[in-house]
Amino acid sequence: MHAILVIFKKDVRRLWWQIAITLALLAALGHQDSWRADAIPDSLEGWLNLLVPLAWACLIAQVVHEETLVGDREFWMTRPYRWPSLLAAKALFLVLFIHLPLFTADFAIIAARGLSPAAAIPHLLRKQLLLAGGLTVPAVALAAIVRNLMQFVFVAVLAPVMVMFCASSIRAPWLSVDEVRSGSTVLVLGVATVAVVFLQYRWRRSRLARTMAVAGGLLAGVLYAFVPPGYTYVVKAAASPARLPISLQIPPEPIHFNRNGGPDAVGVYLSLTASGIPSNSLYRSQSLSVEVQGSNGAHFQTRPTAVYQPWAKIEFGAGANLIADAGPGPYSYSGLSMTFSRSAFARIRDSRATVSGSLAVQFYQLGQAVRVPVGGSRNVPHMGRCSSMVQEWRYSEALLKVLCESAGGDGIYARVELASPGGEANLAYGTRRPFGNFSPDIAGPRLTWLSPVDRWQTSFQITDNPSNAPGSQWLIPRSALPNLEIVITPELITGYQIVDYRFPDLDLKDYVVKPLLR
Amino acid sequence: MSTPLRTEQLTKTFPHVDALHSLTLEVPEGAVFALVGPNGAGKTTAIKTFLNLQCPTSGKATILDTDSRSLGAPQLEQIGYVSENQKLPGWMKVGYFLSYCKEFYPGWRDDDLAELVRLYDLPLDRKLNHLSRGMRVKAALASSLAYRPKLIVLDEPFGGLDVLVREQLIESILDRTPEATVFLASHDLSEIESFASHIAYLNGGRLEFVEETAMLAARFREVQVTLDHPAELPLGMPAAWLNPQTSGAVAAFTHSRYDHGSQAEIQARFPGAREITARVMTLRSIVLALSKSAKGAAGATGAR
Repeated sequence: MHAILVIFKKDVRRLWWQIAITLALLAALGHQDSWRADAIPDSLEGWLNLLVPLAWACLIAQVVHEETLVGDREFWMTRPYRWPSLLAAKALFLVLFIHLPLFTADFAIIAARGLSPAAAIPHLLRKQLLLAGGLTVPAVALAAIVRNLMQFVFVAVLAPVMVMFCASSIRAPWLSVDEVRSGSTVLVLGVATVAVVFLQYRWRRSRLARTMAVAGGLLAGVLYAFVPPGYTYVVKAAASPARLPISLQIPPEPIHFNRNGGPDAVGVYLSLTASGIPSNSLYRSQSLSVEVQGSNGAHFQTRPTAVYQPWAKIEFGAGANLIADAGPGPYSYSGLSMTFSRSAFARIRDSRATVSGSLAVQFYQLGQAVRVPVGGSRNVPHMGRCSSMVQEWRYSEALLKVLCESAGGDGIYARVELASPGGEANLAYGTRRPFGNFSPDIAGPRLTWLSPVDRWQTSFQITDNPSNAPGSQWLIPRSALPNLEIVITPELITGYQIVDYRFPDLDLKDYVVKPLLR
Repeated sequence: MSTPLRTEQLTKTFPHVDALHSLTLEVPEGAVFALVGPNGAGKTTAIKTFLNLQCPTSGKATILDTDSRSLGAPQLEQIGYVSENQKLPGWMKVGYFLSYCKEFYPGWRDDDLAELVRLYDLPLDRKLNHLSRGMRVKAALASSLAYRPKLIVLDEPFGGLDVLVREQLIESILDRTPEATVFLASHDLSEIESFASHIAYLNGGRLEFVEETAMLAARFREVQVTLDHPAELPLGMPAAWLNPQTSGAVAAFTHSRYDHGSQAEIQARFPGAREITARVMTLRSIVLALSKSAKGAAGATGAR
C-alpha cells in the first residue's frame, strides 16, 4: 500500500494541471447537461462530449507513460517496483480523477434535473463499467504498448477512423448496431485489452502484447463486420421467447399494392396474413431476411449485414436490388415488397419461384398511461419524468414539445397522444408516435453519450392559422392548447420470436406491382 | 563464496545481428568486474539481459541467485544500476528524486545519502533535466548507493566525464560499498584500470577472455629482443607470443604466458639475442595486443 501511495502521489504531482483541465472540462459539461431541457444538446455540450473523453484518454496515456512499459531505458525498470503496486497506483489515479469525478458529476446532474440520484445508483455503476470497458481499460492497454503520447494519439485517432471507414464500406453507417454484434465486439476488445494490460504490467513483453492487441482488434473488427445481425434476435428470442405458433401465409385473394418502382425496376408485392397470434397481442417486426430461388437456378438473397430494420436489401447483378418491406404490424401494411431490376427480374420471370426467409417479431404490452397537462410534468413509469412545454420559435410556428427524462429508464418506445382532459386519447391532433432520441440534422457534434440522463422527446406543431386543408389535421390550433392533455403510454417489450416462412411455387409475374404514375 | 552474477551460454540475437554469443562468465562476490570491449561489442546488451530489460534468446543469466527472467523487487532492492543511457524522470528536482527513490528501499540510509549529496555537491532544488550529464550521473549514482546494494551494475557511467570527476565517483563507489560486487561495462580501459579486480573482454558479442586483472598483468609482457644483425622471425613461434614483428635487428612481440622460464625460452628461439627486455604492460596495451592478435587471426582465417 505504501508503494501505491508513493507512486500515486508522484503522478499527481507530475500531472496536476492535466488533472485540472479534465476536471474543468467535466465541470463545464456537467453544467451544460444539468441545464438542458431538450434531447438535443447545444454545440458546446456536443463538443464537450468529445473533448472530455479525449482529455481523459490523454490523461490516461500520460499517467501510464510516467512508467513507460515499452523499451529498456526507463529508470523505474531497474528499481524495486512491484507490478501489482504499480498497476494499483495507476488504477487509483484513474478512479480518483476520472471515474469518481464522473460519478459525482452524474449524481449532481441527475439531482439538478429533479430526478432521484439514489435510485439511479445502479445505472450510474453500470455507466462506470461501460466507461471502464469502453475507454479506461482500452486506453491503458494502448498506452502500455506505445512509447509516447504522440504514438498514443496517432493510434487512438487512426484506429477509430480505420474502423469507421471499414465499417461504412461493409454496412450502412446510419443503421443502429445490434446488440450481439456490439456485445461480441466489446467482449473481444475487453478480453484483449485486459490481457494486454496484464501482460505488460506483469512481464513487459511489448512485442507479444502488441501482437495480442492487433489480433484482438482484428478479431473484433471481423466480428463487427460479419456477425449476422439476425443473431441478435435469435439470442433475444432464446432469452425471452414468445412461444406462439406463428405462421405467415399468402391469402387466396392477395391485396394488390401500387407503388412506384422507378423506370428500371419491377416491383413485386406479396400480401401476407399472420396466424397464431392472439388478437390482443401487440407486436412489430424487427428484422427480415429474404431468399428468392427460381426453378431455373436464379437465386437472390438478402445481404445479412444490412438486416437491422424491418426491411432488407439484396444486391445482385449490375446494380439490381430487392427491397422487402415487412411484415405484420399494427401500423404497417402486411406484406413483402421486393424490387428487382428489369434485367434481374427477366432472369426469374418465366420461372417458378420459392420465396423464403425469416422475420424477427417483437411483442410488447402497453404500460400505464399517464396524462401530462400542457406546461406541466408527471412521473411516467418506465419513462421517468415527462414534461410538456410550448416552444416558441422566432421564424416559424411554435411546437408543443414533450420531453421525458430518466436516469437509467428503459422506456425507449412510448405512445404520445393528445386528449381532452379526462377524455379518450384521440388522434384529432397529432399522431401516435414512438419516442426516440433525435438524430439532429444540425452541424457540429451533438453527442450526449456522457450524459447520465436519458432524454426522449417528440413534438407537435402548433398553428395560429388552423385550416381544414388536406394535410393540416396534425397541426394543433393554439386555441385548443388549454383543453389538451398529453397521454404517454410506455410500450413494454415482453418477448421475441423468430418466424420462418416459405412460399413455394410462385409465379412472381402474378404479384408485380402496378406503377402509380406513368 | 557465492556468485552474484553468472551467465551460461547467454545469447541475444536481434534481427540480422548476433549481439551476444554464448556468453559464459561468473562474477565472484566482492569483485570489481569490468566488462570491456569496443563500442558495439555487446556490453550493454549483456547488462540489459542480466537485468531482465531484455529477454535472452537462449542461455541463462543468474543474478543474486535468481534467474534474470524472474528478477523482481526483492532482488532489485539489492542492485544499484546506473547507465549512461538511462532515462531519468527529468521533471523531478534532485531532492524529490532522491526522496522518491528512498521509498522503495528498506535499506535506505539517510546518512549515506547526505554524505553523497555533500560529496557530489548535488543541487537538490534543480530539475534533473536542467543538470549537466555529469551531475545527472552523480544523482543517479547517489540514488543507487544510498541503500548499500550488494551488486552495483554500471554501464558506461563515466563516459564524457573529466578525469577528476571520474576518479571521485569511482572512489565514492568503492568507499561507500566495500562489501558490494561491482559489475562495470566500459569501452575505456584507462577508466577501469586502476580499480578493476577482474576483466572480461567482449568483442563482436563473443567473450575473448576473462581473468583477474592481477594475473593478467603478471602474465603479459611486452618483449623486445635485440639481435646481432637483422634477421627473420624464427618459424614455429609459440601461440602465446602475440603480434610478433621485426624491425632491423629488433624483434618484438607480446608474451601472453610470461613466467620465470620465459627468458630461457626466448633465448633458445633467438640464439643471436644480445639483449632481451620484458616490460610490464598496462591493461590498455594488453587489451590492444589481444585485440590486434584476434584481428590478425581472423584476417589469416579469412585469407585462407
